Amino acid sequence: MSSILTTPTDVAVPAAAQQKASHRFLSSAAIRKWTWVHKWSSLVSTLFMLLLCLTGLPLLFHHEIGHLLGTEAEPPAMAADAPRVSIDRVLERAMARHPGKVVQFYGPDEDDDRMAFVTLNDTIDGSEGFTSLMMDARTGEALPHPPFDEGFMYVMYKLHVDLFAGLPGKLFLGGMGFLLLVAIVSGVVLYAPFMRKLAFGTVRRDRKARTRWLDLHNLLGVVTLVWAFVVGGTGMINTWADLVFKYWQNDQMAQMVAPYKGLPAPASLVPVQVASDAARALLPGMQLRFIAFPGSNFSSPHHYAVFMKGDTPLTSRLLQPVLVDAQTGKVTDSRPMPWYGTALLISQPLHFGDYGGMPLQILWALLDIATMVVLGSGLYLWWKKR
Amino acid sequence: MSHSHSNLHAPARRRAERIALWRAPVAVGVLSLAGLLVGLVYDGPGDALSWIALGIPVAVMLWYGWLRKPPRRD
Repeated sequence: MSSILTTPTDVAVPAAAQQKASHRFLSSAAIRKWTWVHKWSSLVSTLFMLLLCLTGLPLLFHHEIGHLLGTEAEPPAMAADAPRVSIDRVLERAMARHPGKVVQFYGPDEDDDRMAFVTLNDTIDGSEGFTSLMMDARTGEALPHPPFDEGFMYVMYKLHVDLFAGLPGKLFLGGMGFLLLVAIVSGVVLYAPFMRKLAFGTVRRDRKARTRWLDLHNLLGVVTLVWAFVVGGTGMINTWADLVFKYWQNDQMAQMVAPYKGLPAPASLVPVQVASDAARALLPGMQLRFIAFPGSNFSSPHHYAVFMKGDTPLTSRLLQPVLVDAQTGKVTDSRPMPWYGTALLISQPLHFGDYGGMPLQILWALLDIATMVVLGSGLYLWWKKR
Repeated sequence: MSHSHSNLHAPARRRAERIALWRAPVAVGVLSLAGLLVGLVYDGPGDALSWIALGIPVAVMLWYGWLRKPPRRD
C-alpha cells in the first residue's frame, strides 16, 4: 500500500483491530481515501510548515530578542510624568532629519507610550522604501535605532511572511496553510482507526522505531490539533491582509470619502494634533492607534484618517477609522470595521500568541516545537513506508 | 452464527468504544480552545486561566510522550 502511514491493515495495529477496523469507524475504502488526502496535503506543505515553525519561534520573542541584541529603541530615563510634546512637534523633528521626505503615518508605540513611530517616504502615496523612525514622545527627538529592514530578525520575518516574494509569496504560504488544515482534518479522521485498540497516549517504546514514531505522531498530533488549527487558520487569514484591506478601501473607505470626489486637494492642512483631538472627542472610550496622512494609502487626499482602538484586551485589537477633514479639522465620518476587517484583526493575536504575557509565549513555543515533531515524524513515517 | 450475541449489543459497545477513543482528545481540544479565547477576552485572571488551559495539553504531551515509564511487561 503506497500510503504515508502504516495503515490499520499494517503490523502497527494489533491483529485484532485489523479485522474489525474495516467496518467499525470507516470502511477500508474510506480509510484509503483519507490516507491519500492526508499523505498529499502533508507532503506538499510539510517543508514550508517546518520553515514557518522554525522562523516563527524567534518571531514569538521578537521584543525580548530585540532588547538582547540592542535593536529595540530605548527611551532615556526621565520623570515618569514628563509631559508629552504635541504630535506636530514630533513630526517636525522627524522631517528635519529627512529633508524632502513626507510623513505618511504616525502612531504611539503599542507597548511604551514614551515612544512614537513616524513613517516617511519620498512621495505621500509610496508603498515601498519607507523610512521608519522611533521618536521620543517627551522630547520629540528621534531615538537611535538600527534600520528595520536588515538583520537576523528581518530575515526571519520575511521568510515567515512572504519568502521575500511580496504578495505572491504571502498567498503561496496561505495556500500551504490551507493544506495544513486539510492535513489536520484528515489526520483526525485517521486517528480513530489507528487508536481504537490503544489507550490514549500509548507510546509503544519497546516496538520498532516506526511504531514508536507512529504512536508519537498520533499523540502529539491529536493534542496539538486545536492549537495548530487555530494558529494555522489565522495565519492563512493573515496572508489575505493586503487583499482584505484593498477590498475595505474600495468598499467602506470609498463610501466615506465619496462626497469629496473630484474636489481639489486641500490648500492648507490643520495641525495633525487637531485631527487627533477631534477623533478622541468623537470616541472618548477609545485610544489612538495610528494616523494616516492626507494622500497616503490608508486615507484620502482630503482627510486625516485617525485609526482608533478599544481599551479592553479584545477591542484593543480592533480598529475604527475616524475621517477628519484636513482643511477644517472637522470629523466627516467614522464607521466600525465590517465583519471581514474584524475577522482579520482578531486573527492577528490568535496567530501571534502575544496577548497573554511571557507564559503564553512559552506555551506557544512548546506547541510550535510539538508541531515540528508531528511534521518531522509524519515525514519519517512516509519515508519508511515508501 | 457465532457473532449473533455480540451483534445484539453492537451499537452500545460501539458507542462505548467511541467515547473511550475520543474522551481525552475532546477534553484536550476543549481546554485548548478555552485557553486560546479566555486570554484574548479577559486580562489578568483570564491570562492565568489561559496559561493553565494551554499548559495542560503541553503537560499531557510531555507526560505520555517522554516522561512516563513504559508499562511493565511479563
